[in-house]
Amino acid sequence: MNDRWPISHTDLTRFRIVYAVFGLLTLPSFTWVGDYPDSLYRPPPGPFRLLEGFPPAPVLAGLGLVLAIALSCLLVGVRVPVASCVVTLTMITGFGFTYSLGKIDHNLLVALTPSAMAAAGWSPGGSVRRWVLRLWAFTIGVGMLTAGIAKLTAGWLDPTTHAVQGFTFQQVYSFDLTGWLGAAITHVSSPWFWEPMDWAAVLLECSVVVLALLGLRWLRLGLAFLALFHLGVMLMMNIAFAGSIVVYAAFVPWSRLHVRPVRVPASGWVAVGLALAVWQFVEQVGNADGLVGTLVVFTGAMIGLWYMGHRLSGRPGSQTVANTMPILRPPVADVLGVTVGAVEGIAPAACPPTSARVFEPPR
Amino acid sequence: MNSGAIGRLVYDADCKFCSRVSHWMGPSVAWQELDLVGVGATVQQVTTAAGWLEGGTITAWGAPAIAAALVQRGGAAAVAGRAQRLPVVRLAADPVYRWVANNRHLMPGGTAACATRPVGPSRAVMVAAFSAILLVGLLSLAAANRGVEPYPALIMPGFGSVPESGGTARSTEAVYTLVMSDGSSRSVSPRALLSGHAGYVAALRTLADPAATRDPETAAWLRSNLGPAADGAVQLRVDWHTISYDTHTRERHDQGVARTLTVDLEDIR
Repeated sequence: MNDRWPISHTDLTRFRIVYAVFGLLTLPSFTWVGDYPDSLYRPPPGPFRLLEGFPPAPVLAGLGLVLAIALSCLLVGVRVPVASCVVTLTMITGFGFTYSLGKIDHNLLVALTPSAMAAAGWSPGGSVRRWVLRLWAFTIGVGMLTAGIAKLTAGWLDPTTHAVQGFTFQQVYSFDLTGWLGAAITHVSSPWFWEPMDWAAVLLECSVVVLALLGLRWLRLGLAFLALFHLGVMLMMNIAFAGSIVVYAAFVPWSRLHVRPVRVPASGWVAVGLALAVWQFVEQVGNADGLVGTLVVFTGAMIGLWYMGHRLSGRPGSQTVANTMPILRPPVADVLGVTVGAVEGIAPAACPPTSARVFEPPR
Repeated sequence: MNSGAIGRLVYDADCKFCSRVSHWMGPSVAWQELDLVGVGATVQQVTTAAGWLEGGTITAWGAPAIAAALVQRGGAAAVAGRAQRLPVVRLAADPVYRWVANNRHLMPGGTAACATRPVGPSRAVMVAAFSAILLVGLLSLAAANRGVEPYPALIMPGFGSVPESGGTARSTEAVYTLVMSDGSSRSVSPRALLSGHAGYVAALRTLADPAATRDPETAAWLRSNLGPAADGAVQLRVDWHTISYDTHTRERHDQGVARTLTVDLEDIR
């Protein structure tokens, strides 16, 4: 309980860049939902029931553009607190319309992350509010707990049934999602293989909230296991929970990553220009959701493995990601490093904090 | 480094806005260059208000310090400085100074690092916001357990009931069939039904709602998607088949139609 949550402002600033890059590469388009007739508008219980149909195409396109601008602002560090809230609102609104066709993807944590991080202090020149990070960790834990409880009450721990096996069969044979290991793994029929997976899923999802209360080290360990769990889900069921990996990335010590500072001008115009280019590309061609999602899940699992190895070997915390995990050297570490460095150099604080400036209580 | 006869404005060098204003006003010194104990000040005081250093000690803080600096600058500034000493103006000067000081990070040249206190919502607001999110999450979970999932809600994928038991995995697969006016029928793929429209094939789940299938707007939309393929079609039938797989042999068994819905295409021709 006396964990100090040593997350620095550099960690949060770099996470902001990671989040914004991910958001822009997987920028959703909401305009397609305008092609559907209002007779198929079946919103889930909530504020979207106040509407009687899908909004006009310009509104949906505008939502996507505003989201792109807000994400670009996060990337270059312009108007970060406002942009963070705008990302949350546009995501919740845009996805609310697409989910009104009957299928809800559970990505609320992805949408809430920027607002939570803005409160935690990921803006340029801000100070870290560790209690907000703790609250956010607890919120993630509660979110995971909802999944765990749903599985628990559905009978996942019943040794006579195998939920993971059943869903893998559905994905592979009913939905024809045979990529990765899905088809091969259905040849395994031993309950000793499948039942532990059911138990592991439930225990992992129910434990995050407890680990969040225990402290950052425990939380990171739990998130490392979850990252590997998501890799397993992707390999077996072809479902890439990349958004969840990015949510967990708020607790990665990004300051240990080597960066190569590259200065680019920081201004609202740069953000708007970038946003227009990305938005136009997504509307015309589509986003890189599939490829980026896969890379993110693999990278998350690698960072998770690195952290678990780091904890088990008891190595000192001064090691860098690239030094302690050679697999993250070229190209992954370089790409991350250059990307983070490119943006990190653009928003120098006019008022560098001094030792006398103490917003955080002494620890 | 203490002062002589001429007064100097004490400012915070960490704040670019404060630095600019102080230099404009005349002789000034950053508090970081002072022996705070020697001038009778604390870090708390010098990081939250400007001071007026005269005769080796700080004699005024905040608005009076600014007034003293303006008077010393002379000219029109001196008039403004003297005006601040009038009782009525003084009443307003203090809150104005306090407001500017509290929001100096928003002034020209200021950043969040200049703030005299952490920028952002208060702890009470944040705790209330998080509590609301968590409360909504728990209420949503209760609703989801009743088969109705709200949105937005803090709910992660639960995957629903276990689709395997006793070596049999179960699934439900929709089969879409066009019934022609001559009584014949032909199957149609979900992609053909969504022809020309991006989005999830899963959107067709909405067709499980009888209200949606009965709506003429749905029929018109489907007919438009199908194009010439819909010529002669009078009905789109959606059959949900229960499928089982033997988990040892992976053999597929169609257990029959669990549910059927129809969309009347004839009415809107």
